[in-house]
Amino acid sequence: MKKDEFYIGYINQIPSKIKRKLKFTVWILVLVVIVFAVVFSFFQNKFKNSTFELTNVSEITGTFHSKPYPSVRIELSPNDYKNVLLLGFGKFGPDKDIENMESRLNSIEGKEVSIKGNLIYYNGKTLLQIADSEKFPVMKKESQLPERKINSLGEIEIEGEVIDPKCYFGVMKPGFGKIHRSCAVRCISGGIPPVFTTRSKEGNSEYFMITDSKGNKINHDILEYVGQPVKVKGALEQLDNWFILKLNVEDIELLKGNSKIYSN
Amino acid sequence: MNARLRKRHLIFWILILIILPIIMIRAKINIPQQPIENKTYSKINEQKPFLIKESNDLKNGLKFNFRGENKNQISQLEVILIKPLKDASSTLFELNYNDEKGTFIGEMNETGVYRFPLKEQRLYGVLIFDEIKKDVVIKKVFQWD
Amino acid sequence: MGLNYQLVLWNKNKKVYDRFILLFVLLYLLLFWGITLITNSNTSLETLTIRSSGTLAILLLHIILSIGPLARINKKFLPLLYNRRHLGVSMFLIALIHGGFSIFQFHMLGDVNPIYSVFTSNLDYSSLHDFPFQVLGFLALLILFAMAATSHDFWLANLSAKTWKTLHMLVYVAYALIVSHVFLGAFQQETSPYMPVLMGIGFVVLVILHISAGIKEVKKDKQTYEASDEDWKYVCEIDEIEEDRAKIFIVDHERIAIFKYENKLSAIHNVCKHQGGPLGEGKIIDGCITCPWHGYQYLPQNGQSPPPFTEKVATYYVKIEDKKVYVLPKPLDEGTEVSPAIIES
Repeated sequence: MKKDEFYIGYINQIPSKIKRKLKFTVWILVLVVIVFAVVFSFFQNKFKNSTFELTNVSEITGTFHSKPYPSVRIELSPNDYKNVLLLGFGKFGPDKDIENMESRLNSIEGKEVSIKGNLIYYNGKTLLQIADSEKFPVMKKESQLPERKINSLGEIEIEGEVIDPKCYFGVMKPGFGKIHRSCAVRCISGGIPPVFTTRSKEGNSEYFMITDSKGNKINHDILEYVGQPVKVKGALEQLDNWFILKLNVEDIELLKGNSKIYSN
Repeated sequence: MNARLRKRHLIFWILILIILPIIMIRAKINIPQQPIENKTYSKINEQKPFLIKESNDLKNGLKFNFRGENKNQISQLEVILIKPLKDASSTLFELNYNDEKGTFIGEMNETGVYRFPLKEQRLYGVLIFDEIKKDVVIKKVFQWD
Repeated sequence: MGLNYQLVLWNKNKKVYDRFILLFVLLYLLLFWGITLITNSNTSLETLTIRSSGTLAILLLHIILSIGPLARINKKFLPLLYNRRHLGVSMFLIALIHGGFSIFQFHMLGDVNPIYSVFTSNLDYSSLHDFPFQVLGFLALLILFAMAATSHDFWLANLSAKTWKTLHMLVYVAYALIVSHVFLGAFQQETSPYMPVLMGIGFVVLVILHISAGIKEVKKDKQTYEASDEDWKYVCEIDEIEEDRAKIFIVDHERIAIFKYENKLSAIHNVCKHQGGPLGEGKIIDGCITCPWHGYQYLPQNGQSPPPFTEKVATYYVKIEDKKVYVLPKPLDEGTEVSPAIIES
């Protein structure tokens, strides 16, 4: 008589034919798991080698400037200067930390300071997340550096994306584009200076600190344009290794998509 | 499963069958194109004499080109940075014969082309040094025949 | 039959099932992390966690959604169905890791409440490719949470069966939200064609499975009499019913299961009180009709579960004339004792 096999979950013994078919199914599932894991991991876009030194505290010594955005200007070699943008903790700008510092030291504008923090760097740009501005002592001296020069380079029209530099140059992988957009909005809204980035066909990028047309900080007005391809117009300036773009928010144009694939 | 549930399943799956492919296809064909901006604003030295010697360090994403009027008149070191260096600052120095930091050549930032005037013929090597963290990023010695 | 507030009624098969779930989860994570760290090492731990848990949750959801129709198409898949709810809860936990880390990474430590940020950081609700995809994922997670939280039989008994089933059918809404979340989010930026193709294949497989199972059932449903009909209806010849098994008879799109056992015939409503399993596809074990899905039991002569259990299904009058089986389509109250029809030898 044909064996009438029936599976009951709470009976320990599984009928043999059912057991065999089950084993086969399990092996198929293993294959499916492997294929899924390989496809979703191997074909991810390449991550950039941006760095956020979360566990290492460094000290930067240079001249503090609050315009266009709080930064420390350091001299790498004679006549070779670099501007390190300052940031706060989490998704915040450095304003609170600078307030803490100035409550102890009075104004630090134009003075030489030594600030401790965590370095963030990628592709020629360096930033510092200020560490514990209430605890770490910050020194203040007269500045050794000559006056900084900001060169005017005329009006330009340029296409690219508005990103937040803490994530982009730091630990967010990726720190740009649609999937990062919410975080960038949060960061810029919290006071982190917005940065404009472009990409040439060779894959090289340029970076521009963004201000309004008068050169003042801009945060909330730019939020709706963050993380998307845009065309902007404004006055271009150069400060050492950074560009500054003084743009008119009303002239920002969202570039609508077509069928090309977004890549970086 | 009774008849009412079977009907509900049918409705759900008809809706899924119609709506999801529309979303999937429209989402993939409507991806915003990342703009390519070919105007660059960083000043690159326009002078580009003849290529005398090439020396690459592709593992670190660097190409070194010595340029000049002729083999005995090397006047420029062209450095092409292909991928970003992983350091807080990248200052280029000549490398002395005792493998130490020599004369300052220039600073590098983003990926791209850098052209530095060179006085030294047959440069022994170069050093990329991070002045912020005070450590050596890359050391490269050149082979001259 | 776990109404008595026990978290899980463990048995060997459930333990084996759960071990396999754990094994597959570990295999996936090991492969994903390993391949990413080797071929794309500039990743961060947060990104790795978010992506591995998100993609694993999607894979698990595809497997879970396949089990139902597979079990209808071929009985050999019933063991997968038995402990499907553990698979569902596991999938929710993994999706929670994905959602939790994402909310932390992208919305926390900022200037507004993170949940508020989920809904307001991107206000392009009217755009397709700019749509705030994270909202879709968040809503899917809420559905999965509601399902996981009510997955115990305790809830099945205390919410009405209708409510519970309606809630759990929201899994299809969750699936649609998750596919949209991925296509309007990650796939707007990841350029590889293989990932959307794989998701597309998953979609096609699920649709084919559900439609095939649906067609199979619709074919069975063709015959229909009114349930209130006072006339006896012909079912089949006695010999067509296997010993200890049943013949399923369709009435008003509902089904009656007629069991043959110990030279007797009894007829009960086909739908199990537990999760709606097909009792007519079950078997008589130790004198009880046993449901093929989770093994719930009912006595054939009165449709009652053996004590201490209390489930009851409706019974029907059945008779034999000239070796032919007849049934009265009008259901009696659940648990009504009906003398079985005796098979003359």
